[in-house]
Amino acid sequence: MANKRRPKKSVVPYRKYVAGVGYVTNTKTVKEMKALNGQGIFSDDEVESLSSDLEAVNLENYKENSHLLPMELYAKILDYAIDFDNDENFNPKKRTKETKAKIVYKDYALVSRAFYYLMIPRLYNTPHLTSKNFLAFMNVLDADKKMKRNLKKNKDEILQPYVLSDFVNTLDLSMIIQSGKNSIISKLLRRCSSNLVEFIAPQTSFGMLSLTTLKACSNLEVLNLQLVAEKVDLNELFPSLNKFKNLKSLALPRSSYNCDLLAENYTLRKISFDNDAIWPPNLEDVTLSGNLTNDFIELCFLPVNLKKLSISHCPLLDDVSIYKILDRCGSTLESIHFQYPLTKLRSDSLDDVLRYCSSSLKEMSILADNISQYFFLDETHFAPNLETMTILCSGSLSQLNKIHPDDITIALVENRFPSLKNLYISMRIGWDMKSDDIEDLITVFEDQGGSIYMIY
Amino acid sequence: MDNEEKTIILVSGEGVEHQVLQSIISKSILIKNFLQDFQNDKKQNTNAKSSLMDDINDIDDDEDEEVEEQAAPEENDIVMPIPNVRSSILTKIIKWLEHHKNDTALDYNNDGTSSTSVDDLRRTDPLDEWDKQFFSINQETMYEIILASNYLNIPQLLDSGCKVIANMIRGKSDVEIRQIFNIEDDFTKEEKEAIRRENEWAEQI
Repeated sequence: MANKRRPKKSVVPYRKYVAGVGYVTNTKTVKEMKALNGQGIFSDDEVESLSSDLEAVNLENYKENSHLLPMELYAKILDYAIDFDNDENFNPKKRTKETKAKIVYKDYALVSRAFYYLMIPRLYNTPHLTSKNFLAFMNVLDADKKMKRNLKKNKDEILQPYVLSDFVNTLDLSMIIQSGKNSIISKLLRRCSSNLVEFIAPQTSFGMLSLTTLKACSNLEVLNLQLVAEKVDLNELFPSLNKFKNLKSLALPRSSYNCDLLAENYTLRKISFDNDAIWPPNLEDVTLSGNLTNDFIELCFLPVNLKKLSISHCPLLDDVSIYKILDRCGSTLESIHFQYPLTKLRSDSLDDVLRYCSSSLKEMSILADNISQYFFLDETHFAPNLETMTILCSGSLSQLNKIHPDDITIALVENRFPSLKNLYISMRIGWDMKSDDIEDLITVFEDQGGSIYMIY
Repeated sequence: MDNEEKTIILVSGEGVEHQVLQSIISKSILIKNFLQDFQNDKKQNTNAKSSLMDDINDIDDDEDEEVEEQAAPEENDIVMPIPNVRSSILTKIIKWLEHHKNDTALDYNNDGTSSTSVDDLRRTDPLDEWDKQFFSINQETMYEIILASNYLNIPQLLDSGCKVIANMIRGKSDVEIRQIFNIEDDFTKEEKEAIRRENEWAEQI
């Protein structure tokens, strides 16, 4: 059966194969040079010097082309133009996890050769991939693979001095839904593995094969598996994660299995981990979700220097485990987020979270389902540097009016959140926005210089 | 206070002298570093002079003194030749520096423009009206100003200039961009087609 997914043939720029002549460049064919060399006209050194002469001629022509500015300034201008073309909220310093992927218009690459070489790394650095263009992108990388193979065979015949997939820095596959196969995602990962820094896994088609390929991406800094709908074997995942020395941000998948097997293997030392730590050594941001068990939390300690912790979709974790985690990492946390469903927690389980967090805490999301009014009323609950607080609510029965606006007003009046500037409250909490209590809260909060936002 | 009031004389390519206050021109990292080195040398020389008072015949010291005398004919004035910048461009740059003298200083690296704050600035800071007016000149002068600010290493001016040009090329076709930059089309038809095909995915969003 024909392989329908086989990449189409595409001509790579600057390098053309002509029958009987060989690879043709813009100046001289490589085969021609070799033929001349075969006749003993040129020594190897002379061939090299000839090719460098040709390059020099090119450079002279290039100068005659009256470029007004040096290339680094063109690069700067193109960077600005790309940034202006993008979304207002796009920030090149931030990862795609927090902002939109970069869109680069290919017209800039068509201006001249110099612009093409400037644009290619920018075009492939953060490809904006959707279901529509995913396979086309794969085709280009597939065609490029042949170049890679040639590059290994004999360097002389290669006229394109780069491999496109090496430019790929960020792969955000969150928009790829039902358009990839396991093997394709795995192939893409393998191609881009050398310089991949950020990877956001797609919802589907991320199976065992991709998990194995992930091991090759040794420079990963951000790995987000939160969208993955297929069950992920933690016993396979963690040993490969352990190798990533640069990994700073990790989001575990929503559904996983073999958590206890992993904990057992780790405690019995059936799987060896570097430095005897199951987590990657330099993690700063962790999203815990999936089938994590209390035993796992007890046996496999989280890294100590965490700055951001999110806990969501953890149906098996109880409050003891959560406080164990906070006891270990609370002192360094700058941001902590709880998201429902955390079904094993009681209606007041998260009341003491602030006791475990230090003054470095700046951002917090808490679940109204799992806190009582004492979260705000207890005088020992104090967060001097907390700037942003979000109160989420599942909106289920009996959750309405569990927290009263007055509770927050009292905490503010008692100056227990002195730096709080932004308070986001879920509409599902059931407050009457026209009531006097809310007005009191707004007045007190505005005196402090803060603003309240209702979210859905 | 003395340091702030010091005047620097910049000599343009044509040999025209331009007087600028040190506080204004020190936005140029090239000149800032030059002045620092100059002052350090001066200090070292005076130290050397005091410690080696007895060795008056030291030839090297004499040479240094001569250089110093050449560079600073008056006590407060430092002369700095800038041969690759024309006088009219230098006037414009000084005008820009004088207008922006009260801008908050950004953390630019001493050795170049690639500081983290530059990247942040890229997104957040749109061009102000005065800058837009300043750059509403013919393109040749604009490129000259940009080249001069690149040479003098004035990151803020360079950024503003690049932003103006970036705005000019935004959304333009390759032909229009070539006209703006006065660049020749050095692609063959086949190559262009190949590039189009290769990067087709980037537009199928």
